[in-house]
Amino acid sequence: MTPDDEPRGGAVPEKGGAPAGGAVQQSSPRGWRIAVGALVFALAGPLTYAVERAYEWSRGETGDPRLVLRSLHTVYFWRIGIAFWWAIVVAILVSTLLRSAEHRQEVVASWLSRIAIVLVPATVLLHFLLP
Amino acid sequence: MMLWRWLVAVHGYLGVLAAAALLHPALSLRTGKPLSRRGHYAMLAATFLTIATFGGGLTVYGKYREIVKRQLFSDSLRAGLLFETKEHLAVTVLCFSVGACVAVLFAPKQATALRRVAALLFVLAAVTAITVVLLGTHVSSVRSF
Repeated sequence: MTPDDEPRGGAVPEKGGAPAGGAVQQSSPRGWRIAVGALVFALAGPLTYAVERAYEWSRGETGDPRLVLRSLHTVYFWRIGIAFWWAIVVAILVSTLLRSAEHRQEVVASWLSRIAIVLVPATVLLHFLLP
Repeated sequence: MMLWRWLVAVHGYLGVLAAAALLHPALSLRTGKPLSRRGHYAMLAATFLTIATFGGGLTVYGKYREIVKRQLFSDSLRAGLLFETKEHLAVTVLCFSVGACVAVLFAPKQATALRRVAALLFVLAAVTAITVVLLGTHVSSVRSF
């Protein structure tokens, strides 16, 4: 194994050995919280975007696109900006709430996986039905 | 017009590359073990490729709406709506790849479960990216710059 192939634990230095059964014995709470926050951001962003889009549809803002002569392209940018901002807020809140749940990483990961598996087909379907 | 046509082509090629590149971290992380240094570089490259593709799309977006979009809807309402769907799905790809990348970079060595979630997100990002690529190819075959 060359030095380039050696596994790296992440940006935050670790202490202690590998735990049995996925339970964390001694690790970096800050790194864990940032990782959970990043995963929550990944899920909250598309969800917020889909909600924004559904809200626009419910207000009837889309109309018949063939009748639109000119429209602002910044609406899309604003939608992305709001989705990212809200996803960051949710990520910070969730990672703060779960700061003491590090020893239950299997449960947290299981919930995040379930949400991801449900979220993706739902958002894809929504965006196909309400383009 | 030639510049925009060129930029759209580059955007499309980058999209294909990003869709393929996102599969690499998905496979590397499936066991939940920490990535090697090269694995980290590959994951960062896939994520930056995704960001570059998205950035390219945003760069072209204003002019595309101004010149192409209305004619696209006139030619084919369905293709126009698929273009809208493509835009929305691209946000999902971006969020998944960036979130999963940051999670892997910061996850402690013992956090195998979190890395497996990141692998799942990379898989979903890759599948969604492939969908976006297919939609983009179809739309550009109907109307482009």
